[in-house]
Amino acid sequence: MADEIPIFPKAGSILINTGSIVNWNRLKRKPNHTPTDELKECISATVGSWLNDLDKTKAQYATDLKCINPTFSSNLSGDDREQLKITVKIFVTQPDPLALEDAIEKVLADLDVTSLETVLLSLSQPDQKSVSMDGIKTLWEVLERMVEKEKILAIGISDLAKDELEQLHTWSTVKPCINHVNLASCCVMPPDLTEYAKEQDIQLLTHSDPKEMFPDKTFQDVLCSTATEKDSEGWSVSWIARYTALVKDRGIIKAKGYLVKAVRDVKKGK
Amino acid sequence: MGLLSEGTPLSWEETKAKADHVREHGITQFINLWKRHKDVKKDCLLWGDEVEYTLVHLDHENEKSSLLLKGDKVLHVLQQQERENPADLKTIWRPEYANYMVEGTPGKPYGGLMAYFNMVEANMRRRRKEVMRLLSEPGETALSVVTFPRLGCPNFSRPEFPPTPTEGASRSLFYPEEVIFPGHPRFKTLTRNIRQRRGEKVAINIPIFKDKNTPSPFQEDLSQYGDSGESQAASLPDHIYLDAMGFGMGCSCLQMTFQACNIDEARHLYDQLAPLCPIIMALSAGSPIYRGFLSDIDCRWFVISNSVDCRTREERGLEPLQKDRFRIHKSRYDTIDSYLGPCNACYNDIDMVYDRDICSRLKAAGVDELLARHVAHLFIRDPISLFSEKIDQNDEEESDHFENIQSTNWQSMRFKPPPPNSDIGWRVEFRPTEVQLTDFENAAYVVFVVLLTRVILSFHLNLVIPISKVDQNMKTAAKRDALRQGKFYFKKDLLTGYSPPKASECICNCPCGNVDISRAVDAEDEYTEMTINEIINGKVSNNL
Repeated sequence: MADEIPIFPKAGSILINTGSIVNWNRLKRKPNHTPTDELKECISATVGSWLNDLDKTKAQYATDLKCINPTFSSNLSGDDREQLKITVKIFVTQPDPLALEDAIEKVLADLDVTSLETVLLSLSQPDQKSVSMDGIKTLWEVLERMVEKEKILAIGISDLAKDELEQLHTWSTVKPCINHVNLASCCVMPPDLTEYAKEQDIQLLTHSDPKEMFPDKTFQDVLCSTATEKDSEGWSVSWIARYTALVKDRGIIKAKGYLVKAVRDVKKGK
Repeated sequence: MGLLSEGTPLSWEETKAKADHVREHGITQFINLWKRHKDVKKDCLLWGDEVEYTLVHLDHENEKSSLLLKGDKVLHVLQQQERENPADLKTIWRPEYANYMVEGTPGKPYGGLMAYFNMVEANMRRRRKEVMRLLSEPGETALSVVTFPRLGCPNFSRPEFPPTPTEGASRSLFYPEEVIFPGHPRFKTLTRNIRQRRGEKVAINIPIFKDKNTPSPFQEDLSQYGDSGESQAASLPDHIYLDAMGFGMGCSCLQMTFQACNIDEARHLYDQLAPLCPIIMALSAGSPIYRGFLSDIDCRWFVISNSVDCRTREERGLEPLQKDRFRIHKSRYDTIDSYLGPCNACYNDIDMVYDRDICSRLKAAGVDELLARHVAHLFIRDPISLFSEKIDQNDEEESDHFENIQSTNWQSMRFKPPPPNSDIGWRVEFRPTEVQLTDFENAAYVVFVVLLTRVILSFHLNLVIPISKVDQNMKTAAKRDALRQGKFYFKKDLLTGYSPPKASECICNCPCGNVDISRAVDAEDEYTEMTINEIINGKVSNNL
């Protein structure tokens, strides 16, 4: 496998759009998927199908890859846009404002909409002992600008304890409307958190996303098994965006999908 | 429970004489409703639940408990807010069959956002509190329990009343007249009319649990209760014998109703939930004790079914058909006989009895075959209560005759057309769940079922299996310990968002409107037997 000729040796960035996975039967067969498992399945399938249709000659020189799965459209523009509530959760591992901005713009473009109802931010730095409030604030300012431009209607944060949430709430111009909490880490919500959230009108919603949503190694493994070993070297995930479009009045999920951006320094690879 | 029109009830003979009138206008009313609402496209999800409570008196000193006949008094106060401030209701209260029961629903329906799921338990807690507040005498309380274990035992009520086997609506050896809700004539009228139509008292025989000291055979001497011999003849050995509508309709259940976005979605959800009726019933089982005896069943379903069985001997097949029109296989309280969605016609493998003339009339008005048969099936029944003030109706604006027949077909699922003069759309009612003791559990079942409908629609799941198998499942579900030991027919692969090949063959050859029941599909490879655990939690299998 190591001797295999790489398919996209010059690629320094890859953007994967899974399209709406709501009708993916292969996913429905695995009810106990973790979010990481689900993402792995999705990326693997999208890249796999993209590789099938790929012009291999052109790919040798491509620097920026865009993998989409044409069967499962992620286009949400259309007559019923008004009835949709689009929620996007963006996972980053570094407090890089450009990456976050890039994520939001790419989601808007790929969904073909001008605004998103809710964006939730998850900054997860597993190597750090405590939450970096400075990091969060840097990123929060990006979100606030987006709200000002009416590209996002409401913004929320993830996995903050009461004190951190209070800090963010007090400091921010546009207040967080949601705190997305991992239910596994606290079977019962801490009472100080629920009380504070009630006072400040912050919704406490739960999730089961792991602390490390998608380690770089996992991403590289997926590329390795779908493309080649050389193609998988050096990648690091810039951001992951998971979107859900709910039909407001009917409580039905119209679409759900992922966008993933990864980058690498190609010169290093050689 | 159903329709509470005002007024003066007719006698059974008068009601029977008007049966054709009620049916004819009922169908006209349905056609009008259907025409007006069949093309409505974008109704939103609205849903709600109904919880029935049992008023109980606990005498700790004498270690005695009894059913508290205070429903009318309590309801009068509970309904005050509805009379005084109808715009801002948080809870709504209605009477039920027995005067020890009250039924509560949320004041406004819940909507389409996920946040509503969080409100269910809180509203249920509020309802319970409202009732409890009115039970201020020592020992008084309210429980949400399916059956009161000693219903029908001597002196089971407070105040105590003797049963009247030779007079009154029930003529029961065990169930006094005074237990029936006195505040509206409907319930006594139904009781009397069912008995008179049937030509004899209802007979409910529940298999008894054979415990260590249970005699074999188990047979009570009913003469001790004043039986002249009629009941003894109707009772079966090794069974607990009950003889009144009150034993069935005095049971409590948990029901959910939701509005679909249009008629097609309503029909689709009706079909998808039907196979779940036995499953949810087995999960929620909570009624093993009847008239003080431990039974061999865990669910109330067939007790209620027999308690309102108005079929005559001819209809039951015990005598040849002379005066009656149809041989009818089920009580008017029982499971549904057909799916409503065109792609599920092939799974309608029960010989469903329906009125051919009514079916033709509906089809002539433009109703498709499946829906026409469904309504024609409901309308094989006579009305069993009728009020003099409601005989002559404006069929364009009123639907009491339709509702009369519709609301006295008590089935596992109910398909509900929009009422006239309202914004309400096509609805589906899920009826088999046994009520639970706590608000938490009741809320869990309600939220689970509604959420399940969202999942079925979002992910295009298909749970449909031949309807005869659903009926078999219902029988299995009522048995003792069905939850752990029962095997239920269930669809192997839920993921076909599209009809399986055999079904689509059926459609190609008989497009919607030309359903031929003899082409019921042999779908044996589509379903298999599973335990409740496997159905809910999954089956470990080698091939995915």
